[in-house]
Amino acid sequence: MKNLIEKYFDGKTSLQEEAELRAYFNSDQVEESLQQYQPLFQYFKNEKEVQLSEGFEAQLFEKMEGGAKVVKMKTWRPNLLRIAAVGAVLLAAFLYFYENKNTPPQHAQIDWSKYEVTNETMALKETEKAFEILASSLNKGKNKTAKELAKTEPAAKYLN
Amino acid sequence: MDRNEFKTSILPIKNKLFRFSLNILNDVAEAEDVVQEVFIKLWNRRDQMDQINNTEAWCMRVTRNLSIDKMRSKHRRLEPMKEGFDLKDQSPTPFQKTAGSDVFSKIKNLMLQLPDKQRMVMQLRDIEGLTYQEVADALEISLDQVKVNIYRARLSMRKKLEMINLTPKSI
Repeated sequence: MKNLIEKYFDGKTSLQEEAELRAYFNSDQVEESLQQYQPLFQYFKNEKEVQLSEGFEAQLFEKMEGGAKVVKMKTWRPNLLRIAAVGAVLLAAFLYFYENKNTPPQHAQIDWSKYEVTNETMALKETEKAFEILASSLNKGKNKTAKELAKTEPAAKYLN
Repeated sequence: MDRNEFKTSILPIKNKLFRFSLNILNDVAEAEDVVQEVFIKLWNRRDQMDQINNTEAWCMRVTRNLSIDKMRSKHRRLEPMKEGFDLKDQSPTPFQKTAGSDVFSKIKNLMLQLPDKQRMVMQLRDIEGLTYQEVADALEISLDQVKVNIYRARLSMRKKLEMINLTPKSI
């Protein structure tokens, strides 16, 4: 048996010799010097007994008779979403450019003569209006500066 | 091919396919899904059976490819694949963690440490009892590669066994 195990580890055993080794190592007559290899052959035997669950066959035939084809939904769903998103973007871009291309540029006609100053009274009024706007802006600045300066007063006390 | 023929000539290899897939995926539910997918694929092309030379070898190849695809997508879902990534899931399952002291669990863990090709060759030869030619057909590798890989796998297992010196299971 020692020679056979050496042959096995050299990868030179036949299927029949390997079956002999399995039978030997799964018996209770393994000599002490070879016992270190015993778990390996016991494992091989044990692994060969691993089987599918009992309901497998019934489930399989149910699918086969239902004409079920294996469809990978998980991989298709995101792809469809991506395709739809790309399509929507392309459609939006196309519509935007199509609209812009086919609409002639529009120019507003403004009758500036309505706003033209024609007499002295009107000119005075317009000038006063302009000064009022300017003055209100100036006052705003002045008031704000006064407010900000007032805030520094408590600090100024300590400086003196 | 009708249902009866399928039952008598194809179904008997179901457990062999299951164990092969389980060896790659290390997940019972996913390995069952793979075997089911293999059989449904075969059933859907039952009218073209004459194009398949060796049905068992075809089933083994499809099982291997589907299992590897599943393993890759599993890793893709969890983390990006690295260059030269080894396909097997080396992390012990909850069962392996709790039964870590068991002799078989230890041997299984040693086998999981083998490179994929060596592990698959060892599984098909030493557990399933396939000839070298059948292993070559299933894995789509040359006969020489089968021999080299079985030699390396056994040598590696021998070294590990001599190092840890496990107590055999009582018969």
